[in-house]
Amino acid sequence: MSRKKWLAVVPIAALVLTACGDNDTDTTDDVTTEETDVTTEETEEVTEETDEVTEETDENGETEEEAAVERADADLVIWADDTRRPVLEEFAQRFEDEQGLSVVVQEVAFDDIDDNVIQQAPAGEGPDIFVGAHDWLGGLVASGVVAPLDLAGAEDQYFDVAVQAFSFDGTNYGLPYGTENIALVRNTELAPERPETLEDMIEVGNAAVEDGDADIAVGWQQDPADVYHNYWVVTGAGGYVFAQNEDGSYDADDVGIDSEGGLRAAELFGEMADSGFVNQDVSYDVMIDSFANGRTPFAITGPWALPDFEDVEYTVEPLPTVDGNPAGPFVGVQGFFISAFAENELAARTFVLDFMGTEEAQLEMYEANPRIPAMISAFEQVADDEIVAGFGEAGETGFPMPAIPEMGSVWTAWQDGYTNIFQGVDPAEAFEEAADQVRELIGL
Amino acid sequence: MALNPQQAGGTEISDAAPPTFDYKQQGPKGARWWRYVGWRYLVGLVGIAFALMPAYFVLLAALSPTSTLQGSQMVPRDITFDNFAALNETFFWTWLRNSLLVAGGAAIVNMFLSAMAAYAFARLRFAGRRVGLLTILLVQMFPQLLANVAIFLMLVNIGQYFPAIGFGTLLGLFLVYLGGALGANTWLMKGFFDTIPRELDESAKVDGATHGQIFVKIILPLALPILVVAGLLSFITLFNEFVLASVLLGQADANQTLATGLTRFIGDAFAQRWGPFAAGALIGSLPTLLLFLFLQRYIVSGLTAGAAKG
Amino acid sequence: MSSEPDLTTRAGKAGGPSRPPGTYADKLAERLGSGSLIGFVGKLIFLGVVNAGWLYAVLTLLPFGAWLPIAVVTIATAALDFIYLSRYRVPLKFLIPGTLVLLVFQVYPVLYTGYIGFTNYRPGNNLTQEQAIDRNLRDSVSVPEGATRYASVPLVEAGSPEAGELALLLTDPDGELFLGSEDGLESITEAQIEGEGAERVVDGRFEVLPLRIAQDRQDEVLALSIPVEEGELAEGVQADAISVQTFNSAAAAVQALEYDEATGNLVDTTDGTVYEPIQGTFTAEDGSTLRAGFPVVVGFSNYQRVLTSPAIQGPFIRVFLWTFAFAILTVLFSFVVGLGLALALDDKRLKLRRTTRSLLLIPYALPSFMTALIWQGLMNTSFGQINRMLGTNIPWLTSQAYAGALPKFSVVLVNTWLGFGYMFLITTGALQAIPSEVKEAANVDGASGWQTFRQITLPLLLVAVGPLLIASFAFNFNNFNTVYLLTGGGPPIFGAPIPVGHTDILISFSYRLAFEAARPDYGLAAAISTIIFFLVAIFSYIGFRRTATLEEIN
Repeated sequence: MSRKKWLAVVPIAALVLTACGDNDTDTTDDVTTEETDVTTEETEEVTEETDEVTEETDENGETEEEAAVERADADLVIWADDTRRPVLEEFAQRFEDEQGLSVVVQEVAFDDIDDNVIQQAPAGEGPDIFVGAHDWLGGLVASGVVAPLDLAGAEDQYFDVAVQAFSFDGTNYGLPYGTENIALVRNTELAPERPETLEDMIEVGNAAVEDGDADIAVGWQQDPADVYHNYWVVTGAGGYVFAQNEDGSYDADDVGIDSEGGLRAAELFGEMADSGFVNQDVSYDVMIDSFANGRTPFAITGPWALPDFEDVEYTVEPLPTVDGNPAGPFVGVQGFFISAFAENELAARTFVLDFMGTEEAQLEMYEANPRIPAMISAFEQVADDEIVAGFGEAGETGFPMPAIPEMGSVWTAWQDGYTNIFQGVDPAEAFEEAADQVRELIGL
Repeated sequence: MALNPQQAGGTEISDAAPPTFDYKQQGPKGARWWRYVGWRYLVGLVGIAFALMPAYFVLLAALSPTSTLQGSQMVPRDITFDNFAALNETFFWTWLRNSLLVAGGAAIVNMFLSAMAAYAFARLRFAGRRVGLLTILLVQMFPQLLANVAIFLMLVNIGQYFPAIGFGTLLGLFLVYLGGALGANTWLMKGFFDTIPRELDESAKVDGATHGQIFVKIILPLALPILVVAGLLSFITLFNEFVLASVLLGQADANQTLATGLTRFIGDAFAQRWGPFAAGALIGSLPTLLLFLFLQRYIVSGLTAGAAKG
Repeated sequence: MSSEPDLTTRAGKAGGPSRPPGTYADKLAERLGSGSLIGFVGKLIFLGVVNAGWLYAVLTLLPFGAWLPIAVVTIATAALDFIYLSRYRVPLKFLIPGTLVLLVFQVYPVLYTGYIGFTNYRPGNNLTQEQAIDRNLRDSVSVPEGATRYASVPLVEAGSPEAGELALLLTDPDGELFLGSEDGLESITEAQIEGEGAERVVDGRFEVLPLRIAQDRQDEVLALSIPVEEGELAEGVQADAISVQTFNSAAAAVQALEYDEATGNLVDTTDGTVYEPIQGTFTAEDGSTLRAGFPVVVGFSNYQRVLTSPAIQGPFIRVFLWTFAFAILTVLFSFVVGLGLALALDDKRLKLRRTTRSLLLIPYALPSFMTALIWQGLMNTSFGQINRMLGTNIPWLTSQAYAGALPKFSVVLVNTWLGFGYMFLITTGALQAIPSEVKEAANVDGASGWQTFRQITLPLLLVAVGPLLIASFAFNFNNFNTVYLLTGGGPPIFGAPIPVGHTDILISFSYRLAFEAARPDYGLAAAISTIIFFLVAIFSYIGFRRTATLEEIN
């Protein structure tokens, strides 16, 4: 995940420290009412200034309706990335019309949202609502920037896995709307039959390369070696990253990378690497390029890659079994969070629960970005779609991505473990070292 | 002397402009041509190839319909201008304007602040001069990652009293950018000022000029090449500056710079849209290149150098 | 160059001896430190603006009682007035504008980071004390299992929506209606409601609270607590009040914690546990803690952790050496390439010279994180263009052989590509400062081109750009963007206690301690930043001494 990693490097800068800076009591945002009033007036001045900017923008022929709005100009501020913003703006408009409260949707790069909330919310510059992934919860909860959300008895309307994902230490913190996971994407021309087992897939893939029909046996990104995209082999072989308690939560004290199943996965991986079936040089871009050009029979990827695959005939299926066991990938759940520092908590809760917690809203979110709806009734509406069904089926055996902060200690160490296997280190030793490093990092 | 330095750009290096002959007399394509001029073309060509080979792939990404950056095709399968068109649906032109205003404005002001300081360090003697010179360079060596947080908090607090320059304003970012005025550029200018003969100042002083006048009327014109270089350096750095801008500008569309605005396209590790990003980056690099193309005459004009030697 | 005695400061105090007698205004200007009327007027305008700004700032700040900011702007303004109206302090006149912004936007953040290094700042200790208490209190509110959920409509005393008493119209899942107010829960019938929708009037006393106003009175609405008695709630539910959940729903909720202002502790009212703030974390006697806390100063403990950590001591030396080599080689190569191109193109006879120069600047003008990723693709072993063109299979970025020598080379190569534009620009500029007579004289003396360059051009050039090379070294010492984008620090060093790669540099490696531990630790990161800063500063200082640039400025 090197790209993700560098993207993480930048916002480290962004990371927080608000409290210390606010020791001057005259500038904390826990200001007295009097001060709050003044602040609001001042912020209105900002708004005026922004309006000027906007007017100039209009002269430049930009769209007027997307006018920039500063924090205090709207009753509700929502942060979402560019793919979700248009849908949210529709609902925001409806909320405005029905409730008479103004809503603005601000665009923030997806991977920046959690860091920005952690940094800016305590300083009073954060949103009321933000859209993100459940595995942010560990960091958000530890930083005290996300507010508990009582689903008001609506829990039954959602898939259990989705509701579980948004609960942390028994408290619910968000409203889920879509789940995503990787699956097997198969080029139906190059591989007419669905490979039931890992061995089948290896055989078909290698044959395609030998026949000259394909450049790579499988589009399975390994550059850099990828913990997320490899996890299904580990679970199929009986391994795990952290042991799961009975209630589904993860136990950071039990690292399973070097468990029996984990070491079996390492062995399998070593064989695949030796035979050249998996290739350390396959980056995300190579995977996309190969599959989109019909130069590989399989891609192991998620719904985000599909827009690039328009020119090939493909289908989406569950991942092949490993040693006869179903293989479960990580499942990520996306949804709406409410900031603990929301200026308008009531309105935020109303928007999330009453406007986004509807079948219609969940379907529209699906239309904009085909994640599997988390609401059961919405899912049933789209279950006929072959692709949704394929990803859904692949995710049924999956495991929620751990939201515990300790997961942050896993990525690099385990990634290095895979890389070492590619470099010829004994697979078992490589995973044992990775597990030791994870324990060391957690203990620091 | 065959070549007057003023005609030849003023800074002829000896092996290029030997004083004793004119290569043209030997025929333009002869061995001497190679020795004195031809190799320069070769070096230039190799340099351009080195510089542009990776940049070519930025162009490919901008013209490609897929969203990837590292395509394996040398020649694109399909060429599309959709990525450029996609920019029009965003606030791209506003971002470009913001970047030009903030980076351009700050570069000009920084150039003057830096030049003033460089004058003091080059021409005046005072206590703390050596420490001061060292300090402005050492301060910039602090790992910036965490210091930015302090700047963020400062702007949030300033914004409570003076919203016009607080968090989420371009003016605030502009002020923060001025903080980098003193630094490596000051040293660069000081080094250049040191080479301007002091006799010029002395004679002006005899005529009653103050330091302010010497600075404005003598040093600045003579130091034009380095002023332009420092200004350009400042401009390029600030134009591409990402971290501070992303921390300080907030999220409003109309408030972004090119760097922060374009980064939205690639902000999701699993859904990066490199096409529009590359298209925007290419357009965004044009101001720098045009500026350099235009300002070069000031950087390498022989006139000032000649005059400096009195 | 500066060995001759300097007369400038003394001469600068006033006009020179041959100064012609001037007008009264000129004399006044001179007394106030200006040399001419124009300069004087300019200065007055400048100071006028500064002082007007000061007045505006103070008038704005006074109502807030923001004394510290007032002090800062006042001192800054007084300093400017004093310096520019004085006939002396010439150096300060030139230095003060840049210095002020430097102090505010560079020095202060550095000091602030240094301070963070002495605190335990991290998630869980990242809020103010008030914020942390509030967060914990609110986190302890929950709707007990089995509690009745009501559909709710906020109401307000008829006739005075802005200030009147608030109430709730509640409908339970069976359709029973209740009026909830501070007096308690009151069963009502349909007949007691007149009107429809937003026009409803309940019991003749309450009307529907307009949402606009509910927004303004949000805190009151949220705080509205309808007392209930046992028996009114579902069986087994322990709660004493119903409160709103959203605009449209309400339920019985309990808050487990209470704040004890006298002691500053948080107390769990259900079992009496006392949480006392220890090191900024609310901790019970049995060691259990509450989630939200605030940062406190912890002395040198962060430094101690960095310096005694076995995880960091293990690979420290090799990482440190590589960091040093990475920074030095990058500067060296990009300087050589940049200077070479600058020299080669510094000839008027070249056609297309300006275009060539501009094209050479492209690597520097494009965002580096994009071009670094392009390079990563080019250097891919199986699919990269470089191996395809060469017909080879070289593992540019992944080979672990010879301590990762090949990836190290690749990283330096790419960093050179990213940096030579900068060197090209500064050397092109600095070359203009070298008098051509000097070189010509050398030529006349029969020196070869190389000798002239080696003995005259280069030394003169280094005087001007030497400090910049040192600054560039310091920058690259901490420049892990290139490394991370290209190799992610890899290939991994097998057998290290924490993940570390052959191309990892010091700051990226040691930040792992801070950011890949279970809880990111900004206090620790700040301590690491400070330590690395001192390392870089020491090397740079030695560098200055070695290049004799300090001699130059003495």
